Amino acid sequence: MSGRPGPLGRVRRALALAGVGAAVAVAVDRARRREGWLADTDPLGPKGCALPEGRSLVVATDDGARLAVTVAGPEDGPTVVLPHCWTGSRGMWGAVARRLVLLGHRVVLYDQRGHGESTAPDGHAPSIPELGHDLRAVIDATGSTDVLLAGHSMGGMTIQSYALEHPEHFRDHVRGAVLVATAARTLGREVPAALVTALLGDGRMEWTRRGAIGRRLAARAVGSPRRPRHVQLTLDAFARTPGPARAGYLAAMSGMDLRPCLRSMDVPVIVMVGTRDHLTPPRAAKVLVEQLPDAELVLLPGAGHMLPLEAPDRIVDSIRRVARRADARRVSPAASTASAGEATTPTA
Amino acid sequence: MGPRIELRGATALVTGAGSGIGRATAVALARRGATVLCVDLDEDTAEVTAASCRDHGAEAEALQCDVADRRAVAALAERVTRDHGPLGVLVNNAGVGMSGGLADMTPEDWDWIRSINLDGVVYGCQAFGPAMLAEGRGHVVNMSSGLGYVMQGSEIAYCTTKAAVLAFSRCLRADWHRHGVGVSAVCPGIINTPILAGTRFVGEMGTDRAQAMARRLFSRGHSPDVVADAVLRAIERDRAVVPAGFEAHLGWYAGRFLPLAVTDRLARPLPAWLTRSAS
Repeated sequence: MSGRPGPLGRVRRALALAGVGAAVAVAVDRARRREGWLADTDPLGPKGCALPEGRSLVVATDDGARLAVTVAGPEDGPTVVLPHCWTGSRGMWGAVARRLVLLGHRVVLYDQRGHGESTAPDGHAPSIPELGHDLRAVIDATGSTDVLLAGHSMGGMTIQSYALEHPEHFRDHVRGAVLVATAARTLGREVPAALVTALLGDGRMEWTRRGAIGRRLAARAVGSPRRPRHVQLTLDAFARTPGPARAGYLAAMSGMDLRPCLRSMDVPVIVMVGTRDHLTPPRAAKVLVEQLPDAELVLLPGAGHMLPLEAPDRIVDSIRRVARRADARRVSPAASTASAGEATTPTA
Repeated sequence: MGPRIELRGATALVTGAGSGIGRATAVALARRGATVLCVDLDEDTAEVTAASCRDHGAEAEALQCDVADRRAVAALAERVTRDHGPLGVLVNNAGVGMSGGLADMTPEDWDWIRSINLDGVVYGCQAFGPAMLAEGRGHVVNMSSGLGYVMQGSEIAYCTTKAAVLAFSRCLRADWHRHGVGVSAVCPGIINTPILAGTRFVGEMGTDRAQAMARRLFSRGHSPDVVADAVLRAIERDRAVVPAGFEAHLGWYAGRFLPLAVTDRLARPLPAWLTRSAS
């Protein structure tokens, strides 16, 4: 048909337009409803990332960093220390920490240097070993013994670095660890500091925070279902971290290789990873499991990198299971691996 | 139909609450203001679910029980009824998987899956039902599956137990209707839960390749929250059967309209050319 539409053609066109309009309206409605549903079913719950009630203290390290620490839960409960991820803060662990406190644990949370409320000494160059020293300082300052450690991403590297730098201290103070979405080695070579600073330093705040690229990157950190709130929390934490810490620690992580420490981490360990983790993919987790003397892999189908937000309950499961395995080991040190295997309910 | 029970303030018991769908359901009930009793074989994980429910602002308690053990379920019911009165909501969710043909299954394999998936549901209803009937209100949700009506030759044991749960629920619903107690069957599709960890793979399905395929399929599945939603819907609208997930809906309606010759063919294993490329 061509030329001017007759009266019938006009009706048809109007109907087609109405149809398209209705389809768009339905799609928008569905999307909005899904967004509401994703917010409603958020595993973080109504309290979000709020920290459990506790006392705050500041730990000064030998080299002049000041670390903001929160200690929550009953003083005589089994202690869990939770180092957070790159550009994160104590808040990332909020949901996990609240559940641990409800279960009678004593929880020690701290902002790693340069992150959150913790400061690094002027003019220092971020490195992975110093994160290990800081973890030791926090454990000592809070008088923690028989510690269970759970570290997410860079926090997991903090734990490995602590085991590498202070093997005796680790052996005497730690009874188990959960390595959440982390790796012993990322790129394996230094990326030029100038490049990371140009990309992530303070000069490029705006596009990383507001721009499509920053949002896209933060969205890639979250698995399925991708909850907008988790993306926003990731992005906010990133934007709040000062540029030098963002750039410095990313460069430090790209060059590190913590694999030599793994053999000496002779405590029960659970390594957790989401199948959709693009930052520390499942193959990085498999390397950890292969090299650690007593480790078990927990694969979370569909989950991404931000497991403390995406799957807080599963992390608490793992912490308690590691505690169980450590207790079993204490009863019969020789048969540690065998008894741990028996007590195990299989995880994928 | 209106709901048989108001969730706010009700006492709800969920079996298999230590992981996957059970945990998501327990938390969803907590979000609606119910007091949640989290039952699992593994008490540690049930405690974590209870802590999560409390963090969501509800009252919650963790209880250990093997649903396949009739006496244990009866003892649990006695204790719960003494401490909390008759249940408002009972979710018989605990279940396990089994993959493989009948020839490769031992008699013990069959006893194992039947005792958990089917007997566990029956025991739960028998133990908690009388108090609910006497109260004249309440709702029972039994976890069936999309495989309760979509038949698959390679999942014979799982399909059989879940089809039985579906039949049991619908009969029980008809029976308890006059007593004011609602009964629903929820039929999830592919949900990414740790069920594969507790699944026995026998025979052909026991190969690494078949298991890897199953893992990949499940990692693409829906979130357990989708099923928790279906449970809430079943209770709040007193629905007889609620499929959860696109593929479960598809199977439910396709089963009504497709000729038997087609569904019969669909129950057979996939042709080799289709599965080969997937490895």
